[in-house]
Amino acid sequence: MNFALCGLALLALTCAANRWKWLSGALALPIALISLVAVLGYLFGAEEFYTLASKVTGLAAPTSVAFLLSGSGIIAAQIDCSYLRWLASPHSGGVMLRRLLPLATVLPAGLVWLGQKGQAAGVFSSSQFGAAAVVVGVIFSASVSLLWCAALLDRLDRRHMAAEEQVQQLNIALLNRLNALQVANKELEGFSYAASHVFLTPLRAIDGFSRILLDEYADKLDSEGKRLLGVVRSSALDVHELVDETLGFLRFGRDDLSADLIDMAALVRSALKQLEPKTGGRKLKIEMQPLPAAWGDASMIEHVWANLLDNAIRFTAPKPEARIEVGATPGANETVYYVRDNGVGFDMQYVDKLFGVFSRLHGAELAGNGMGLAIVRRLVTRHGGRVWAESKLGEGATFYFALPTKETGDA
Amino acid sequence: MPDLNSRVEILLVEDTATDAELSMYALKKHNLTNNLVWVKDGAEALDFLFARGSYAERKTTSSPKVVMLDLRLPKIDGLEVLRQIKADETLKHVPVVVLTSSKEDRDLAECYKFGANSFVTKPVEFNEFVDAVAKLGLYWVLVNKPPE
Repeated sequence: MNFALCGLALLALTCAANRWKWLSGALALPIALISLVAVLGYLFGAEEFYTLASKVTGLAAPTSVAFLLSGSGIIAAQIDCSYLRWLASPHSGGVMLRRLLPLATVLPAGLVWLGQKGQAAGVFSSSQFGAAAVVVGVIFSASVSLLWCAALLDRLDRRHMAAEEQVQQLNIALLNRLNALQVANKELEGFSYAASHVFLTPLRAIDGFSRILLDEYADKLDSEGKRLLGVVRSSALDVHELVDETLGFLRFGRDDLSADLIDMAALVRSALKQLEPKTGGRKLKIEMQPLPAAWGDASMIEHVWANLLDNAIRFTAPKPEARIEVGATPGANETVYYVRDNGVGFDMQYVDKLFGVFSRLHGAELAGNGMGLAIVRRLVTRHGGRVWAESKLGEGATFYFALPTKETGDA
Repeated sequence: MPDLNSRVEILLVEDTATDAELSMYALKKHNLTNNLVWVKDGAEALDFLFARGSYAERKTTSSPKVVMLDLRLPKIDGLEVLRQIKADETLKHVPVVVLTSSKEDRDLAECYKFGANSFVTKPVEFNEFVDAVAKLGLYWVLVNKPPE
């Protein structure tokens, strides 16, 4: 019978499917138990034990040892999916089990065997002494092992508590930082809210009253006076644009992101349409490669395209024939979109300054107010993406932005 | 200031003198300033509308044809003025045009929630500003027919 069980258990073990592995463990357990009974019977000369075992299975002493070993082996071979998996666990349960299991099995068997041998060899004569000595041995070893385990558990518990306390402290520190961040955000929000009023009102007055002066006192102003007033007005409008862009920059940093599936080609067309007035009848050759869809906030990504295309249109202004190419390279984790132009380009040694707030690599007539690329970077970063650029001075530039193919922004 | 007991057509609620002057400049081109009252904060606006405080002598039989209301005002802010107008049985029919520097979606949403009749962001560029204010004045004073 044990042969049959053992064969089945081994068959189940070799099965590749994990769902059969438990069966091999379940079959190996009776093998190991029956053999254990027989082995103990032979060990202590307890006839009933091994005759019982041999009646069921017909095991001789060496065979039962072999079966005990093979049964245990089969259990060990697939210990991960058996009821003994804790034996292999690296955690405190596993450590405890590995320490206590020999105590429960080998120790009593060994002590009783020693007692029997001692009595047989005439070291002591009464079987009561043997029994008492075994009990003393078990009590002593069990107590030592239990103490050993208690010390282990205690140590683990202390370590655990210390770690927990550390986590708690880190949590508090994190919460404090979060609070500080929220306060700073609130302040910024309050600032940008008040700023539109505070900055725009005097600008409106500068522009308005200069204009009224030009209209109502035209006969008292010579051409130089009118020119000077024109400078005042256009400067006021420049500041207005700057304030607007700065507030936009702040707003884009705090507005919630929506997660739309974006038709990038449609977005580019819409951005180009908005920019039409700025092209001023120039000869522009715009080439559009296929653009994969993206996940993100459609209005923010449209802003990204609008800023990059606006740049390309401005940087190509000095060229007789402007060429702008829009395209994308799909990837496993991110899609890289780009806008390439044959404009004035920039020196790569200043590439780090490109995406900074209010930073420009060209004069204002070409480069605008220095907010566009800062906004681009902020919007793309908020989507969990990145931006970069390549250029050769005088030959054109390519601006890239990569968006993750899965949603990973901060929304 | 016009005679408070003749019908006031426009109540301009504006704390910034330059903005008020520019608004009146725009309205004057269309002769819309004869019956205009300019108040400089929210409390004064409510005093005028409810005929109390320094406006206690005013008869409340006729309400302005339109209130041009700035949002950021001293003492009582524009949103609260709007709320009180729209909460009052006799005043709630008075059209309130919010005229503000704000471009915040939050302000826009709040104003309409409280029953604003129109929301206009003040342009910074002079021509656009004059054009917007003049159009508002012409529409609400001359084109629109208020309840009697």
